[in-house]
Amino acid sequence: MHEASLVLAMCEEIKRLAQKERARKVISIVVSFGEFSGIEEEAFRFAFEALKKGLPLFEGARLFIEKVPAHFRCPWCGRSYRPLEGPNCPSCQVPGLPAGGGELEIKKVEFLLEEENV
Amino acid sequence: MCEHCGCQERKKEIALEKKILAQNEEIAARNRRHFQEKGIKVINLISAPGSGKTTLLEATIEALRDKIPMAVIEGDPETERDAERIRKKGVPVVQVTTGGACHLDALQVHRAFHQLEENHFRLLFIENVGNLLCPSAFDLGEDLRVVLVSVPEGSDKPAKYPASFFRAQVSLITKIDLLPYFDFDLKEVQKLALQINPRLRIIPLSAKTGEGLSLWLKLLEDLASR
Repeated sequence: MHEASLVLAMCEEIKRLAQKERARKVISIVVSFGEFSGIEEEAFRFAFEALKKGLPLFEGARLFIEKVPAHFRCPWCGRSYRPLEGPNCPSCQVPGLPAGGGELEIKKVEFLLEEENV
Repeated sequence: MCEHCGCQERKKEIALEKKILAQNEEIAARNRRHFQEKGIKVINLISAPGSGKTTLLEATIEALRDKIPMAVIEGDPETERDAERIRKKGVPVVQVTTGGACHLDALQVHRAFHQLEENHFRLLFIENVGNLLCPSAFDLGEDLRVVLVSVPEGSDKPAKYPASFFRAQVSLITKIDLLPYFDFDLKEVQKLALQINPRLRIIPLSAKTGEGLSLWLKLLEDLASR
């Protein structure tokens, strides 16, 4: 269950950004997980719901999870292909390089800003 | 302005594309620079509990200790047992107990490394916490990531735990002396692992009989002399 560590790390990153932006609430968060990232979506949501109870900044925040499909890139011709097509490039038959699928990213955060100098 | 009631609330959306583990990755990058400056190569060993990481380390130390000075960081949720086994082989070792956590992070490795620093060594092994999933997300600053699967675990492990194989450079199939007793398909495990990471170097071996071990040792010697 490393999802809890990841949720903590995510909240730390967002907290820092909130300070910089002078935000007082997080409205929504969009994260993206690669197909081979090893994240279990339900465990991540569960950990987020549990952790946000102790963090006023995140009260009522909504979490959206996007999935990124894995892909390999051919080191010769640059072609991008899915792991289902096999380990080797369909054109050149050379083993591909893992190019996408490990993502663990915060894509977007929507903040409610402090009420001042409007 | 808020569109509902006319109050002065303002919203702002920020596109980030920031890694969730950005902080860990910064520390890992610092570790990597530090290791490079010292001329130390670092190997991160990841597997389920009981796949034979400590036994492999014991055999590796036996075989290489006259050629390459080595050190070990042992990650475990509790106890010093694994560190004791390594210490008996006469190699400097630091035990990191994670207090129940399922993985090591770059900061723990940074701290453990400072405890080892007074020793002279060129290869540093990090035996991660026994877990085939969680450690895969955490870069420690290593040069080589090695994932182990033992014969009793079954040949479908890469399909069940792709994250560990996706981010590794080497996969060791351990305990191959047990192949006659288990329904383990060497071809299948290799095929499944390559479907996740086509560049993975796969070495079947037995630390007990020594079969296949020379390929692993050669790889380490090449790494140390790079």
